[in-house]
Amino acid sequence: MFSSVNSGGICGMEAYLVRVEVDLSKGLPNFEMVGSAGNDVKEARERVHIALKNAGVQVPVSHITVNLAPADVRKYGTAYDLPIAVGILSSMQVFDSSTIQDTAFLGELALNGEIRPVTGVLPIALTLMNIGISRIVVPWDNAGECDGMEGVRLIGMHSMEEVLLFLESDESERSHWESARPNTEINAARHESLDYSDVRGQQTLKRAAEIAAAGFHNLLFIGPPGAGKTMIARRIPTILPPLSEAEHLEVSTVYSIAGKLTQEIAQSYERPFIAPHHTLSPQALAGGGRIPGPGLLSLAHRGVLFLDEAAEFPSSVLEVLRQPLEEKRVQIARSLGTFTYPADFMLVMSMNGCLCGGFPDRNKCKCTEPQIRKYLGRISGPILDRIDIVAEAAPLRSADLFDESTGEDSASIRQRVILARSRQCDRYSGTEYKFNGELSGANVEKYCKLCDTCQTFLKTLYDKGDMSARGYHKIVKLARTIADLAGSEEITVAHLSEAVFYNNGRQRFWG
Amino acid sequence: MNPDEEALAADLPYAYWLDRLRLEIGLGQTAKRRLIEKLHTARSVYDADIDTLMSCGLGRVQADAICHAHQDVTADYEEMLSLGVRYYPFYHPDYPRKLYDTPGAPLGLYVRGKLPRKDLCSLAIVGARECTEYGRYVAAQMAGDLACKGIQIISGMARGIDSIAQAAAIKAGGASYAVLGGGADNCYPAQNKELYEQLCDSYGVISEYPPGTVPLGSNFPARNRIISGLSDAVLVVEARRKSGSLITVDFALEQGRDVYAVPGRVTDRLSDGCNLLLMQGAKPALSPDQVYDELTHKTGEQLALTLDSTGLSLSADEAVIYGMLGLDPMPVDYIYEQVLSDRKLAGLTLPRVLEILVGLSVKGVVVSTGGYYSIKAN
Repeated sequence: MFSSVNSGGICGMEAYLVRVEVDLSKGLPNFEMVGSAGNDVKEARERVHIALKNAGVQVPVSHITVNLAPADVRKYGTAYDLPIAVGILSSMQVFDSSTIQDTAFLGELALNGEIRPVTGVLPIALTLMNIGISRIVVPWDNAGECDGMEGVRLIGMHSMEEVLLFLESDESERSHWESARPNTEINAARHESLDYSDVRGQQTLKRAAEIAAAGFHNLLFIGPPGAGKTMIARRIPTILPPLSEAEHLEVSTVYSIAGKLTQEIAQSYERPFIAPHHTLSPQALAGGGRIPGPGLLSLAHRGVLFLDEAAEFPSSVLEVLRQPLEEKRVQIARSLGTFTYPADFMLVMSMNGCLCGGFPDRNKCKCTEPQIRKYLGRISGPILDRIDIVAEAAPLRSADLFDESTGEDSASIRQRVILARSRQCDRYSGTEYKFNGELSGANVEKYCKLCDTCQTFLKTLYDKGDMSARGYHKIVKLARTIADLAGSEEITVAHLSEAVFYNNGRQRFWG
Repeated sequence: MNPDEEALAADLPYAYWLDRLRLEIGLGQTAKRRLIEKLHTARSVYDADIDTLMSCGLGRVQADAICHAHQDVTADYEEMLSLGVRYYPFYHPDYPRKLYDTPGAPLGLYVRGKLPRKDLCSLAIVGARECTEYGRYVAAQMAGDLACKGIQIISGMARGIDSIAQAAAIKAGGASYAVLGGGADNCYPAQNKELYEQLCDSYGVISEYPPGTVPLGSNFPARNRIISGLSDAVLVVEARRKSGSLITVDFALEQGRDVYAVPGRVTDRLSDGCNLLLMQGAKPALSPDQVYDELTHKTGEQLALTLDSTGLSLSADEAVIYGMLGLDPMPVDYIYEQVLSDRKLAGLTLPRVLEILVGLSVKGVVVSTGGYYSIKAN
């Protein structure tokens, strides 16, 4: 007896429909799986058999053939356990198979019949909904992934027994299952405990963070240890504007494929903040494995990638950033194919000025000039070229430490950032750009018009040797963001001056 | 050319040969010097047989080796001249008298350009490679002003104080001479190419090592004895407690030179060396005029070094910010905190402060180094 059950698979960021075809026929007892199934997929034989037995279903001794169509696409993962089990039940005529024509199944089975979570539920669900599947049975732990999305009906199941009950029930009873949801009581704001009002002093660094957040500019903090660089960087998520609906879907999709889409992330519109330790490998950053999943670069998509002590990262890791910073995506080639994941993040780095950390305070730092050059040289030119703001931290003074007054809080900074972002949205509507930080080359001149006074000002700077040709575009882009923060359509000399200041650090340390 | 000069010119290729002569068994500068003193010319050392050499106190192996070290001395000498380098052995009349009289004076000097003038006073200015804005300023002021008054500035062309002083002396139209730790034909450090070329063209670059010698770290302490030996006094601008500049001072004291030190704040590690010297009895260097007067044994009114801030046209806000700055680079955060603590300045936001600072920097009255600002010294 033949049956067919809907399921889905993931290839890179794309989801597709998989039809799980099962045939039970007389013959030598055997369980055959075809359809470009990987090893992890083929192991389903044992799990399905035993899970069904433990759920109280005796599979008749027969020749079982499973085909995963389309058969020319490589399948991997464990999400086919449940559709195979349902296919066997359907072939055994345990229930009326015509009632699951518009239903798909995803889930890994435990030997005792429980259903375990799988990856990629969100993108699969969205794709299947578009091709006319109205209901998807998924593991209970994945049931919250599409919360808040229109027209997606996920049914969370704990175990094989529940699935049996579901299959044996009629249409009116089935819709009842849809209302069941995992507990949604979660802390929406992940970074709630952090706030910029905790930061004493370091006004220029806070301002640099504000400008970076408003224009999505890549940012580098440099200065002595203990100055508060990390503290300020970690608070950047508290001033970033919330994700838009489209961005939220992108982020959730990446996390779903990586198997990291918790309910907390699914329901929060906070931007991701990824801060890896400097011992990470290039693969962990870009996405690794035989079948590469999204790496940290992609998990930071639409959010912040923070590299603390950036000079300690091996150059092999830092150089991985080159392509994503340019193309906003990461492309990984493996023997099984080429996979592309989105990686449009804001890069924030912090580092010391030298190995001992004291530079430029010559009372503390005894590093020689060549030692300092070598240390700073760990950040390569191409990476530095992609950084718009280099902010230098001053050593913290005791006065700041014991100062009781609190600084401006994150909420009011965020207000300004959101306003600046909406100005950019208006300006770039209908273009590929979203933020000033993404502008490059000729487009800087197109969108950042300078008056004559401003041009004279920049010319003076250039003639004095205070600005390089390379620095020119960065300064103009930054000035655009600063003007947006100030609510000004015109870029003025004041905006340019501030932008020049946030470019000084590059001249000093790498000039 | 009188006969004496002719004889000397003919002897120079041999002196050059002897200076470069390296024997496996070893032949020191003192031994070479004694040979010339006993046999009167380098030529006669070259022509001497084993017995003559042994009678000058050499061992048989050394004497034998010298006799077998003959080569085309004229060609070698011509090659050196083609590099623009001249050789002055210790018995050359142009060899600086001041240096000749010091213990351990070099056997000869290799010079690109000229030797310092004998009729003018010379001052060595030395200090830290990694110097502060303060050191930078004082070195440039002292060197520029003194050079202007006809004092020759001698130094080692190293990064930091050395090269700043020498560049300032040349810029002020004075004279400056560098003593290197490698061959005089080799610009070290390479970053001072421009200074090196100015020195070669108009003044002089001096070394006791033949052209082509690599500037080894071990050569530098010995180089310092020439710096102090060529000078009437040594001025230390900035030095750590353990510093190469203090080696120069040790030589200077041994050679009987005056030592001046620029006082610094006791909390500055880069002034530790200078303050220590002052404690031990070095003369404080307070202004170019004072040093000049003492060098030339004149007495006069001593003026302390002052910053000239008159004649700047600044707006009210600019004047306030400018007034907060000093020679020490100050982080913008500290400046802004001063603004915050002053109620009268409530209108000055951080972006406005940055605008003012960048504006002042464009006007050329302040200097920015990263997030720090300081008053521009001249």
